[in-house]
Amino acid sequence: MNDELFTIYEYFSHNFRTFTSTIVASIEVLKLDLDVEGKFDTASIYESSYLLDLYDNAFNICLKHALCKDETLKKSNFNPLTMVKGLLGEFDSLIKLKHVNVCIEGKAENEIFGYEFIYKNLFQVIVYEIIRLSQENISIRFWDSRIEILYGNIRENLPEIFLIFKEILEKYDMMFFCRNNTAVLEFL
Amino acid sequence: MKILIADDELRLRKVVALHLKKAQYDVTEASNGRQAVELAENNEFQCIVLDVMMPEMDGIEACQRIRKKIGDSVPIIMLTAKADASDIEAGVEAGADAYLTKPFSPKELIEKIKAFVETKKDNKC
Repeated sequence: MNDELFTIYEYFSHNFRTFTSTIVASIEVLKLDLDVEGKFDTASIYESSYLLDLYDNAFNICLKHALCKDETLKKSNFNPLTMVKGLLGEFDSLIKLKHVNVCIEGKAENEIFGYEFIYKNLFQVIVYEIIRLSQENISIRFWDSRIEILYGNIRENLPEIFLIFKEILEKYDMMFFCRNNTAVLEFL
Repeated sequence: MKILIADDELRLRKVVALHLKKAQYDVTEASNGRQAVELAENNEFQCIVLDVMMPEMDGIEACQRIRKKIGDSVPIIMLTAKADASDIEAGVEAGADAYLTKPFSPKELIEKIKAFVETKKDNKC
């Protein structure tokens, strides 16, 4: 297995197994009727299921990239902020649990002509990882053709898989880099 | 009975901690290996549960350090998303008593904890 394939396998396998563990453990709380106070947050099941689907799409994209079998996709018009807002809605409970705030700035009517499928799946993983690792409030700004995520202190380095994401995003006319606690995605 | 659980995945840690609490364990949580080592040094746990892939210090290194500092009196169970034989071997070499591969059932974890704690009690008698 080459290094790139190994990085992809390690990252996605770890996450698939972790999300599945969370689902299994959460379902057992309900099955064994352990939630006597009715305080158990079933959002952990929804979040993990959502993440399994998202990570499966991202895994597929990465694997095709590593095997040089990228799909021919068509460009379309979309609003990058709509996806980010949707994602934050899915992770509202996790964001509250982590005691961080995520604020979004940008014009809702700004549309981009680009590869929505690639953007939607890879950028959601990027946003999720930043939320997961963040210890401070996060600000997401979108203007012209640029999205910036300002994330302050994080618990560890951003995952190595981001370097592979960067290569893929570049193939699909998006520039991605992280610098000074800011992740930037620019539509070219 | 005091149990330390170290896992950087907040959601999973919280749910597993809930299971352990319901099984009448006094649970302390850590979000990385370094924190787990500090807590293990300063508290008397009856069992330590360590995830392998954690930030700052991974579970393998944390296990080695805990063994060096407090000896082998406390059972250590490793949780891992890696299922390779070499990963399991690395955990055992670091001083872990048992290995659970993700996805695991909390019931299985509690059974393992019970078995270890009972064995320790029997050895003391």
